[in-house]
Amino acid sequence: MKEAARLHTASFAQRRSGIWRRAGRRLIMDRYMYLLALPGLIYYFIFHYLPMLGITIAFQDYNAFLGFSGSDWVGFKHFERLFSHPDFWLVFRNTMMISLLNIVFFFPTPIALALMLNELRISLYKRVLQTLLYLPHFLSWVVICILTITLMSSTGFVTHMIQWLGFDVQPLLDKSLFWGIITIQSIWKDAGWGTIIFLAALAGINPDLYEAATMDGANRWQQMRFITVPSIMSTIVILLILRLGQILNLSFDQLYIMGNAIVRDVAEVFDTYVYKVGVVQGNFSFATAVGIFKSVIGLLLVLGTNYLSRKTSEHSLF
Amino acid sequence: MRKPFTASRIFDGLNVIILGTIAALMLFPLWIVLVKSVSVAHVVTEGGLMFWPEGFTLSAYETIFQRRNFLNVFANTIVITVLGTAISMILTTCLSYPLSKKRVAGSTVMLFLVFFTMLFNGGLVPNYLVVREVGLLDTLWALMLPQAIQAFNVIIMVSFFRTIPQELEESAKIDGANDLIILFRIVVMTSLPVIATLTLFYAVNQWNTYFQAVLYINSEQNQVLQVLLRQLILQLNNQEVIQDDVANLHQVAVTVKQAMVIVATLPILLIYPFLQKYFAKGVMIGSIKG
Repeated sequence: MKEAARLHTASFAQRRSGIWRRAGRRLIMDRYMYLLALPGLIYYFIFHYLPMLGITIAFQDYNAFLGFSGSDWVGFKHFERLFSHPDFWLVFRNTMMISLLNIVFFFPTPIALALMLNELRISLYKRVLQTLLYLPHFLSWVVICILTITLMSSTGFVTHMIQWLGFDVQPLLDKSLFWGIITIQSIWKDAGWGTIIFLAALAGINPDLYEAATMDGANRWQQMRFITVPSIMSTIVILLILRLGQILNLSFDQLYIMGNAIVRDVAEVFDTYVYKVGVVQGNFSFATAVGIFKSVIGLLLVLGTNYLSRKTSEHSLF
Repeated sequence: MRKPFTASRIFDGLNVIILGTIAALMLFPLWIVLVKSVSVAHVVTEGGLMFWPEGFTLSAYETIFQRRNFLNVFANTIVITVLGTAISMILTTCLSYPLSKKRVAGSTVMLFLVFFTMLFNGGLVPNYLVVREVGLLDTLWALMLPQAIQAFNVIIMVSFFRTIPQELEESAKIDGANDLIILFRIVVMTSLPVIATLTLFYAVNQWNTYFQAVLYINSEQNQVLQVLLRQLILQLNNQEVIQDDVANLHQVAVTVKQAMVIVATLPILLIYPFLQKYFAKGVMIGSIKG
């Protein structure tokens, strides 16, 4: 059928030569396809690409009354202010620390869980476990923060457990443990969910490999090390690249809800800072400059790690 | 079996136990909250290890449903979940189908434009200004339209559409069906796993909407559940500080907080297990290629 269509178009093209005519014909033939794509494209234009043009207000003193065209151009003023601002380094430190803790402790967890789940022999048990492990992903951050407070407040379960074990209790929801608690929350919420993609990669491994390895006398540990882990390596690398690109993006919901006056010095990150300075206080241009800094760093990290990974191994995102 | 693999057996045993414990930890906090929400308030306020309800009462739930504005907020949340998910699914499906066809001129460019939004975005303030300029500020539309399509979901769906055998569509085409008919009569029908999966994703996102509501909604009458829940914690935390003076007055408040968590979570807990079998299939196919 495809062949017939191609022949048809080919003969058509011979009769009426000209690329434009052919292209025009294809456009008409696929007119319903473009009709289908149109609402989505309009959506992307308005809600994604228009804001990208909007980043130019970072180079203006944007004033809501004067509007986009009426506001003064000020060059890099807001960026200079940004880097000399004491808040900037505080926010930068908090964001980086929480992100790094995330990459060190959160990132490997789904891989380990997926490898463990993969070794389970009883499929019903595995299914039930998966259902439970995915569950927290669907809970909102507000709910998770309430769960945290319920468990860790001075009358909470965890505090009681620590007392029961005979240790001194410090307030758990304090500045000193804040980053740790944020990391634990993230792991609890999404580590189970993160296994899905690795389990998919594991399911794609050719079973013949294991059979051959068993014949050669490889034990389970060796099979895991030489077959399983290398097979999911490209998935791991791709996810790590994408994760690095998100290094300055943290969950607004999580940190905004967990944040309060007591922990402000360790809880303020770029996402919450941009909201407070930009939308609440109305410094649109300054907050946009912060946002650009964040986006550009993210993009550079994705491109950089992707480049390095392509040079040093065969794995890359694009 | 040539010899008993004892090390292997021990590993299996430990694996079953450790994974079981981890899975139990996923449910445990919710269980504690459920227990507290139906217990008598003064027992909860005293604290202590509770594994089982002490004195059964639903007064916390009554308090919530009688709370001013609660029903309104609950209705708003249902609207943005149902209508928002419908809008998202229609837009995502209609966009993904043409993008999945390499023969459609420009589809690769369009797919890249979608993917690029995952790598770079204008940031919060330009987004906010666009929503304001379009006139959506402080309406429920602001919670449905600005994040109606998620790029990752488009990529999942495009990958899934590409796995559908071409013959089905081509034979329909010979029968004179156009692309619209093919999409809604044939492609959608063969893509139910991915449609179920993405519907769940969008619906949960909408139900859990918090950030957008903080950002775009000012008036109380357009507020949503998660924001109300957060306001409740703030109030209660302030009250905890002054608890010594007015302990009796606020004892109920502690169980109300727990009950509110259950109210906000229950719809998800009810729907999720039924759709879970689909998303293993739906996401896997999409995610490997994406």
